[in-house]
Amino acid sequence: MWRYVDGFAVGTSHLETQSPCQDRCACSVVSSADGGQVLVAVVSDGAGSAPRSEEGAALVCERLATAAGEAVRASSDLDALSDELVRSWFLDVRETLRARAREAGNDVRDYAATALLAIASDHQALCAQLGDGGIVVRRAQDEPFELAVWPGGGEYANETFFVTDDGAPERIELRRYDRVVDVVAFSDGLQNLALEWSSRSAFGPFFGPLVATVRARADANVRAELLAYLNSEAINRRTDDDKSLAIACRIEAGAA
Amino acid sequence: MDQQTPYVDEAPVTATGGFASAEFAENPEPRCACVLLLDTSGSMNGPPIAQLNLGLQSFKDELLSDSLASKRVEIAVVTFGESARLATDFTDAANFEPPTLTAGGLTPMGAAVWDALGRLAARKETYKANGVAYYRPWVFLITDGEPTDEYQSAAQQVREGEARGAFSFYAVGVMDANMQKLAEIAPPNRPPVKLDGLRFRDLFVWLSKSMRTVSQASIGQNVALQPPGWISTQA
Repeated sequence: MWRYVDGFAVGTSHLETQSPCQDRCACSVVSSADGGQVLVAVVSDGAGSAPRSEEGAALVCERLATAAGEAVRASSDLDALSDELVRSWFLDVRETLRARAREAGNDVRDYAATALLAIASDHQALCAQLGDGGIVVRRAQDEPFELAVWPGGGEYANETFFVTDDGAPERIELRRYDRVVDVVAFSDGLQNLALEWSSRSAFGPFFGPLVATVRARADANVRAELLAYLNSEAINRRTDDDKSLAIACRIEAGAA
Repeated sequence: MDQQTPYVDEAPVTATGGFASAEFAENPEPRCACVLLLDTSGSMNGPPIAQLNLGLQSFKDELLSDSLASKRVEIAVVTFGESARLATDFTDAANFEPPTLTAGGLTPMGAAVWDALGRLAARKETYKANGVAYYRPWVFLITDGEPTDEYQSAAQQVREGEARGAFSFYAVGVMDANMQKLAEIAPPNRPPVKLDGLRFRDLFVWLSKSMRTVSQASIGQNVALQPPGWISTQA
């Protein structure tokens, strides 16, 4: 079975400018018709420069979680999810945002947000990413953490891609894995803490304690602790941006 | 949702549990380079150069008041008077010692622009070679006159660079600056503005605030800057 905890917290720079937290995340475990348990995790970071990106991020999470959830409810075989199908979910989100923008008389770019989706069944995993932030997986507890997609967008540190972009379809990156035991998705606010720029890889000492904590804890306080952690001075010293984390671990039957 | 970890409406928890043992990767801070291109020709002598020097001091003070900006913003100062000269090479705001500028000579603006853009390109290469992420650099030109050297090729460089997003170029005219010539140098999308009197301090406070905004972790591509309050509205 999967155990997970997720949360998001406002960045200090957003507090200063009195702008809202524009990160959102959504985690769930879906019981498949074939008896499999499938983790679905979504993280979305609304663009700081877009006035309705909070709404965009919330919609990205809701729609991607629903689309992926419905698909894996029928079957936990992730081979049944073609690349085209996964991409179509992202494009459906864009269409929904375009429609919403039209109705409200806004520009669709007002809702600009990134979109990170991770799906993990008992035997396979799939990561799909548009924009920065990252998804890290581990194949076994004694294996290293692997970063699915390096988040570099354009030349500059603050340039990235959004689900609302015209070029979105070509920019969705997909990765497939065999069985994984850990999945961690995070927004770009944690990028500098979680990734090592020189080797362009996941920084293991960051992820190890996160998954170990979730794996060890079945109590309800763990989410509050995660939120306290995301709001902690230690984190805020290193990032002034919104930050979100979705942490999921496979718990072996009989354990914990 | 089919299966959900049982959350309760928790009382405020300050404990961060095992999460606090997570260690952070040691990456260099992403950098935002800012080249100041400052006119130190003879006509700047007296109050203008004095106010400019005070403005530079305010620039440093303002940047230092923001701990992230003080690590992320890198400043270089190129002056043009007796010659186009590097007064301060790229240094982070925390270690920036504002030079005390003196006025004299002509206005070799074209040579100074060439020099600044060359240094900027080299700085980007240094970032890349060291795995340092960076923001779009700024070039900030301030003059009270007009170029006394060949400036057309430099203007071409500015326009091309701005068009391909290599940097953002700002031009500010002071007092009797030739705004027409300045408009030939500044990119068409960002025409030059005129400083209200000698409000250098206000200008540099605005610049530091803008650099802080630009160097925030993630702000998307269109940065909303505060309207500059130091612009002269007189024609």
